[in-house]
Amino acid sequence: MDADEQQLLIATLGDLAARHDGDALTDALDRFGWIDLLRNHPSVAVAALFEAQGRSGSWSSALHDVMARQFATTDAAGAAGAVSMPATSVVLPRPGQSVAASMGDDRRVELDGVLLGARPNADSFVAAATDGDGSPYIVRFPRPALSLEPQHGLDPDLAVMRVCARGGGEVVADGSAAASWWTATVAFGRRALCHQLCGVSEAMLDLAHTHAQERRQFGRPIGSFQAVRHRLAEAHVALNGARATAEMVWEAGDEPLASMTAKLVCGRAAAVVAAHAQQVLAGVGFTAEHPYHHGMKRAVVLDKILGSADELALLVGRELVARGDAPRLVEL
Amino acid sequence: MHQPEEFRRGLVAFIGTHREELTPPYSGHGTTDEILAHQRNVQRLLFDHGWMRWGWPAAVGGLGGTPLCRAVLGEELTSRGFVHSAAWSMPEVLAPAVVQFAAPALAAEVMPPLLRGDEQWCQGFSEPDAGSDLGSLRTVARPDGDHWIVNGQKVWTSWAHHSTRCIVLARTEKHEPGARGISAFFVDMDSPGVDVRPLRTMAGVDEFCEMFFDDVRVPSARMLGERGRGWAVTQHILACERGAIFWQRAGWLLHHLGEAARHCPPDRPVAQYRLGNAYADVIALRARSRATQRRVAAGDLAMADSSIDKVLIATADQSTFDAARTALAGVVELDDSDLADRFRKEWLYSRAATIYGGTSEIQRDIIGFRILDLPREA
Repeated sequence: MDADEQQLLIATLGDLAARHDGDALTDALDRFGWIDLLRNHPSVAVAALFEAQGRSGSWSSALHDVMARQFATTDAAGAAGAVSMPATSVVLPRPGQSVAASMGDDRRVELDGVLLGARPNADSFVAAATDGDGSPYIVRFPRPALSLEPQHGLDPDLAVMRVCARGGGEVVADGSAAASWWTATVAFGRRALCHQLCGVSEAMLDLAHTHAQERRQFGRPIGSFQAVRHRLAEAHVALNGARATAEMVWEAGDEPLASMTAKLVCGRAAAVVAAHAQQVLAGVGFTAEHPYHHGMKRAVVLDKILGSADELALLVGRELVARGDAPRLVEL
Repeated sequence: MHQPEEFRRGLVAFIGTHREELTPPYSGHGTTDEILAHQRNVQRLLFDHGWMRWGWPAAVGGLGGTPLCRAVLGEELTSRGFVHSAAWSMPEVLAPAVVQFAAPALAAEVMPPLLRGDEQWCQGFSEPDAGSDLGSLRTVARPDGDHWIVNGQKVWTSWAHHSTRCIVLARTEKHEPGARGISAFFVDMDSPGVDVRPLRTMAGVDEFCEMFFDDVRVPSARMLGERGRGWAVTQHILACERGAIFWQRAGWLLHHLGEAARHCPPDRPVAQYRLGNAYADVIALRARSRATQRRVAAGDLAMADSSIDKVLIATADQSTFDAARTALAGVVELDDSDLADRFRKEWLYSRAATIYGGTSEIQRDIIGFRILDLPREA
């Protein structure tokens, strides 16, 4: 894909994500050929769509497609016929957990996870599980085995479901195959969420930036005060560091540390931008009618998905200590 | 041989067969004398084998190729602790401006000895009353035939007491206020009237100096760039400073983070949390710097944009050595080992990361005015 095609794609997906939301955006993406685009140009497709969803405050089922794609492109998964796109949704672990399911001694799998924007017509749900020894499995559930319950939470506009099952799952992979599928799948999910967090951050910063130029106090725009200017500059630095990291991580290959670190950088940046934007927007940013709070709430919820910045900081640090090294991830 | 990855592979192979000569002979942080003496040996070795010459034009003794090679060279050396990051940065700070602005014959004369390690240069910018407000500097140069006579005082000049040359900013147009009346000169440090007095940093290192210029005669041919356009030289130096130098500094930070991780007990989540966050800071810096360097290599020196890189590196520098201090659990504060000496001096040095090369406050003002287009005060 050349630079012009890429710009056109960014504009088109940006327009779709601005005009549609939820299942309507999923439908619009399907009509646009999103699944083929994802298969052929994953890094460009994911960056463009998730940045746009972040900026517009919209959501779709694309996170499932991105993560399911990773299952589907693994040879073993293809051979087992385990995953078909786009009918498969991936059950995410609840915040603070590394997998969504546990396997008992009787091999029965209990599922308690989260779905973020699942396709309404999805008929296959995959989740990672561990048994009492910590051994990994990938388990597939048919829809009738699941109980689904909407979770409104902090950000009711985001379609979050709690998904539970007591048995009824079929193990489709175990051992090192299961571990490597899940690692790769989580890595792809994190890459997508990095871009979405950057998009959300940009939207929040834009609101604060506009306000700082228009709002006048003491006879001048508040953006002319150094205290305000420096907050916006700090937010801009955080966003640009995060965006560069989100883009670089696509070149880091299979290294799981890369997507962990990138999600840490992007989650932290969103919190920095949110805090500075809120303070610059002051009273009006605290109202329901001003759009700031949508971005702030979305950023907080997305940070919790697939590892919050705080959890990841600990995991990344533990990994550095285990390796006795701080790897470069990518070369110049 | 000019592509960075090909260069890197060859360099790493060379390092593998010359490890002994590249490893510092001192085991602690090293004194300034020790650090610079070892660096001279490293530069000579790398110059003789060509590695030091890639990324510089042939007209000044280089072998051509992309400047990205220089960033890779610095990174491969600092990330193994072979050279000291701060000392290694100095040629990279000043030489690009000489290549760009010096008369071709002068550049061809002075660049090879610099690259070979025969010479050390320094940067005479800051003054007692001109720090962040560099444009208000008061050192003056007045014309005298085919010479300029320089008078004034400089401060915070790193390694001036070890330097043979200095790039000096002086006011040549006394009626032009601020940045507009300044010219840049390439001054021999053994010129009569140059007096250097070392200052000691709070780390106990004699790194920077005060310099006094008392009727110092500088040949007109030693002016860098045009008369009264010294600010362009300054901007070029600061922009270059934020390319290859930031990349090798990131290598230095990863080197120390890795070492801190090796010394961190596995049951200290507080230290792991800080190491994870510091690593994220360094990776964000690397991601941003990588994009910036590719733009610089393509000839796009965006000065205001590089203020973002500068804030990121200052943050990463301080969080790296803060995390290391936590991971080393009392070593920095209490011990007298070589390990303690190195991490203590580096931690103390990192306190200045938000100050040197333009404070973080100045960078935020530049970002606010020039990138975010926020209104000026009053």
